[in-house]
Amino acid sequence: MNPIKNKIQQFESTENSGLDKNKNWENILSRLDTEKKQQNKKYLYIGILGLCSILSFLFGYRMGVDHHQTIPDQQLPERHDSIRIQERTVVKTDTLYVTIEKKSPGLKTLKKIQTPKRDTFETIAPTLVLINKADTLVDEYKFLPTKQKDYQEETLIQVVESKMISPHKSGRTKKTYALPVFISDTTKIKEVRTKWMWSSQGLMYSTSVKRQ
Amino acid sequence: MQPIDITVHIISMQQEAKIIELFKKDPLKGLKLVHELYAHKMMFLAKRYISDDQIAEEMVSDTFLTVFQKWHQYDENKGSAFLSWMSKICINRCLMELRKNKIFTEQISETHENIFFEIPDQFTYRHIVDTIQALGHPYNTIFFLHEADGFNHFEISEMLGIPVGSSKSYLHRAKKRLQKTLFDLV
Repeated sequence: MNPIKNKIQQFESTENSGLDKNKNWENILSRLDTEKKQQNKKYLYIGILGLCSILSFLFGYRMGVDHHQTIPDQQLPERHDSIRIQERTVVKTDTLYVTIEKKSPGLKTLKKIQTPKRDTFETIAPTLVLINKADTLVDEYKFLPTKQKDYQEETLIQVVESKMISPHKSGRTKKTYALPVFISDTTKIKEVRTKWMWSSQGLMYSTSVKRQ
Repeated sequence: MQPIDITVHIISMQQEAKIIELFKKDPLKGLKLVHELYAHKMMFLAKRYISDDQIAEEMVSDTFLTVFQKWHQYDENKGSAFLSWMSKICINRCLMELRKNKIFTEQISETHENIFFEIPDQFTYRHIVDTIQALGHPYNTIFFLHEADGFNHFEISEMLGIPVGSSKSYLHRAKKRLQKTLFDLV
């Protein structure tokens, strides 16, 4: 045994470490108690989240069936261009991120749109730039979060799709929703409009294409 | 939580093997027994690595909390005593605390010759610990790990995330400094 180890062990067996054992034990007990409470809270939170997920799935699914309107395939014009919308929601901030990304080889990743928080949702109009297969800039389309009134005043050519998106999904789950804009002749399209609407079930959007 | 009276257990269960039995029956009683037996040892151990007494006490509490959470991971058949297992938890906790200050980043390498020194008889425990702690980080940590707690350089390199060569060099420098300090004192 080396001299240091020898001396240290010799002293430690006889001297007082200076630790107040009772105080330390009380500290340990109180921390155990706190940890237990936190764990209980965690389990409760997970339980509530699980229940909410099940309920949201059940109701969301049913609502989707009721409201989802899709044009039958035979009536659809050729899918020349399309826009893909990827949505990711974060529960804590209640923020919805919408990212537009490449879907078909002819359509490049266009622009990232970050929507603001729910309460200021109607105040922005992010721009979406569409590029055709030849990589030429076709036009600029605005995603206009219009009010119900404005929406009705527009000449709507075609409501392409209406879909329910729940904003209360975990931020870790990425879900991709296709938002097809069927443009057979891109030169005649004047504007693509999307209406965003919050309902008790979540965020709903519908898109309209305005032609010249 | 209510305090538990475990006096009977302390008297009748002195052997480490019985600690596990008690843990199996009632983990909190097991923890209380272990705390009763080893709290001072853990405090001594923590104080070797952490100079601040309050933080060292925190490390002791952390150690016992970890023991409470992981006692079932202790395998008596592996040959290490419960005290050694717990000491390693305590040392690792202290090293984590030291790592916060990023003191184990330097990589050094040099040749090492043997260094001999003796501890003067008149030295008290406080003298020894203070002299080693005065070496500064990470010299004191590596010195304690190697010389007092019996870890080899491979183990130290794993624990601190440094090359084996650096561990050897730090120890060598620590011993050199200690030799000089002791020489000056004597």
